[in-house]
Amino acid sequence: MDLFMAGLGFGLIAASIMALAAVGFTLQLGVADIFNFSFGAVMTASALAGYEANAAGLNVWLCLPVGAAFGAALSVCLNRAILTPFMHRGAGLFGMVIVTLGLAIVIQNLILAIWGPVYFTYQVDNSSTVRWAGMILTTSQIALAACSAAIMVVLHLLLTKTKLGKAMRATAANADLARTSGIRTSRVNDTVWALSGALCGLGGVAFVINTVSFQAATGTDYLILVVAAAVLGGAGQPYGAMIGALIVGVASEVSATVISPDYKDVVALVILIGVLLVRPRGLMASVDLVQAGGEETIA
Amino acid sequence: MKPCSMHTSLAESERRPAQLLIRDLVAGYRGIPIVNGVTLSVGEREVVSVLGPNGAGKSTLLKALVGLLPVMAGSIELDGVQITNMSPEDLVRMGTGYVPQVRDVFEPLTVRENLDIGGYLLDSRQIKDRAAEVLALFPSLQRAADRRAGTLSGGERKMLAIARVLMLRPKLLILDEPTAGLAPEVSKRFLHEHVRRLISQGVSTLLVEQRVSASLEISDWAYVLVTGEVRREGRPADLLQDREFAQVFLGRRAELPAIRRESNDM
Repeated sequence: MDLFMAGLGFGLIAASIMALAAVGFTLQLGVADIFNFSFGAVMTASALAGYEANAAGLNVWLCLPVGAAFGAALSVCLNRAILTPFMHRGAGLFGMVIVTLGLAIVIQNLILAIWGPVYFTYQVDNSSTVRWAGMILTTSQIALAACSAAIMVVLHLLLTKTKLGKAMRATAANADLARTSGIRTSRVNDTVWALSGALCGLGGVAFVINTVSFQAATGTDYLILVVAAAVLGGAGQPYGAMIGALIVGVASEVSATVISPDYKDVVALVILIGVLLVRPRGLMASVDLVQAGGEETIA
Repeated sequence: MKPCSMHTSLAESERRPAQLLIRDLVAGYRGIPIVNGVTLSVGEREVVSVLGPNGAGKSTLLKALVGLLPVMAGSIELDGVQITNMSPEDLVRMGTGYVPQVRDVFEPLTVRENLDIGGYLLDSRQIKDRAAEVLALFPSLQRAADRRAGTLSGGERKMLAIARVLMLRPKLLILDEPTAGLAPEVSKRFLHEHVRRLISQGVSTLLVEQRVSASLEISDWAYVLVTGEVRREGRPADLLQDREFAQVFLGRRAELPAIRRESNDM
């Protein structure tokens, strides 16, 4: 039971970090219609930007906004320079999967070529340990989870209460209709890439603050869990991604402590497969904000 | 323009000054023309119907008009201003309001959010006031204001689609088969109650319809489009007296050429 509670504690932290990335990933899928396999590589690159800032003496917590800004800028640039031109020339969903896979490999190897095959380590302040109901967490882990939760609330308000958020959801649901309503969808798209890129960067830095070290392939390896969370919740759906992250995060950490760390990813993917067998469109398919229940995202 | 009988030319001179003027329009998909040199006009505060069988190019014509498809040749003027090949975003700002045949609302958004998006070009206070005015026109939508658009019935959904474009008080309403999928009785009531009533508010309407007699009843002028060309035009009363027209459109509907070049589900 102690082991389970400890695992649950780690799982909640892992979930809160994963939620940042999964929501970013799912926004790109829902609004821009791109299944972005380079998302993990952009996470790594953002973590690296955070690392350089940290190495230059910046406090590790201030590396979070650095990573967010870097992730946003890089994502907007990649979309404008590479992804949109391919889309305009008629690359379909699967074509774009290959493009983004290639992009992931390029980014990852650029990092290897420039920095070499090394482990990067953040200088994290020693934080004290908090024990509660069998969970053993550090104060910095709790701070990360709180940041993530706050960001999710802000995101919810953005999507439901602001004109921009409604325009994003309208564009995701029906881009032609959005345009005939006067929404400049290309600008909305830029905003989505900036926002999702910021989440990607935040996720990257937060992931490393939690695990302390990373290398060139870390983000790409992590992406499989992010995708699992996003698809579990219903592809393209922000609330789905949050719930998906919660399930995948908790399940993988609990199984790591209760069974063995080797089975972390396996357990996450078994849950994903199980859920998709029963609900092929994901948990939140018919109730979420962005994609309609009857609408195929991948079409 | 196709040769018209003496009768229709006389009638034509009685039409109101043109608000929308489409000349020799050619448009289609991937460089293949579906609409082939269509000339038509909508006068101020007129309801003009475009009738024709499946695949005649009616939806293509409207999509080119609202900027969703490129115009390959010809020109479009609205209130004397060239709007040929303007983007949909800019055309809305010129005063067009387009209701597509399908995918006509934002399904995951609530009724109220759909109206908010309809009023995207207004500031937030105006959106609130205008939404209240528009909802007053459609009492059944008012009751469903917080429901998701995807859960509405067919009739309610169409009302929302029209309410959404009314948010910006368009000068020209462009409706692509607003009654498709509605029961005959509902569609007749819909056309009379809602579309006709909008005219009293100073809106001109270009209406594409397959329900010929119902749409003729509310129209000031009608065009018959066949395989991408205007075959006939005139006042509804005159068209109804035309034997060939009556036979093809009202009598022997089963013999309509059912070319499905343009899918209705698009």
